[in-house]
Amino acid sequence: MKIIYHCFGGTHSSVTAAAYHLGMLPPECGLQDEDLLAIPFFDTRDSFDHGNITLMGKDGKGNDIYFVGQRGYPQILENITYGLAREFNIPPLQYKLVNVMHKVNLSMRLGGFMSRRFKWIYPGRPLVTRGTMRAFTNIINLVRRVKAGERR
Amino acid sequence: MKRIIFFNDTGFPYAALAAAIRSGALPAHRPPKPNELEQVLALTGLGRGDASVYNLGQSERDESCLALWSRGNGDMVGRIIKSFLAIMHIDNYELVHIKCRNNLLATVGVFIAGIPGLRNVGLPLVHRHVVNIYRELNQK
Repeated sequence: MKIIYHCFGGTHSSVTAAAYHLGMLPPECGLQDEDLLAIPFFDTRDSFDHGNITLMGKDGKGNDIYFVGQRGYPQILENITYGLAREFNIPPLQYKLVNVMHKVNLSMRLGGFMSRRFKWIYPGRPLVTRGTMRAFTNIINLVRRVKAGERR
Repeated sequence: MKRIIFFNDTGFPYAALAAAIRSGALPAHRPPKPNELEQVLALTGLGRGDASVYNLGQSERDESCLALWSRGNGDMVGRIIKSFLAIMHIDNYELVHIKCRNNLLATVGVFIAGIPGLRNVGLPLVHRHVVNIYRELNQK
């Protein structure tokens, strides 16, 4: 199965969720700033990457884990993927879309906007990193639910 | 079977019209009559475009003609289509970006057609606009 995590910019929450899914991040209690900053693609993608479904890796069960940014229009991403899957006869069990945007807090929004839109890396990146650490519990709970769904 | 995916990002269903021309649901050699246009728009609607995928039928060359449109974000829509089909290892498709622009006639026509009871007033304006840009659509 292909699991696609998506959020606004496809560079903070979805990347964090994909990284946790792949075991690239320590459990909740041991998470440091450096762990987040070491994730590939974290706080690096720009608006011309939005919509580009990118492979992060393969998990232990052989699922391909992807992430993508949808500019706050999850329905566009969902309508296109479900519609194309219907027309190209792709079975629904071959892919899953997971919206991580609901887990984003104000620090992540503000920091992400500063860092990615205005390129104010200094105040933006520490702010979005702190916000991601604060939202980490919610993000990993979502990933655990996705993984539990896979087991069923 | 090859699929042709028409898309545009102006909020008006140009992609659906282009797909209908390719599939033969709308005539290629002359502008459509109001009732012919209405039949196609009855399938797709005149909405602002939520990127839903519509199948407008098959062309003479046995190509399936698909259409979707959004309001803005055309670059992202194109990348979603290409990357989703790429990860599914599908390459027997052609992506056609329709670049027709809206004008006042289309905007007013769609607005009026959306008001309950005034559909029959708005659709002739939409039809007028479609007739004006039909040659451009037909070349896609």
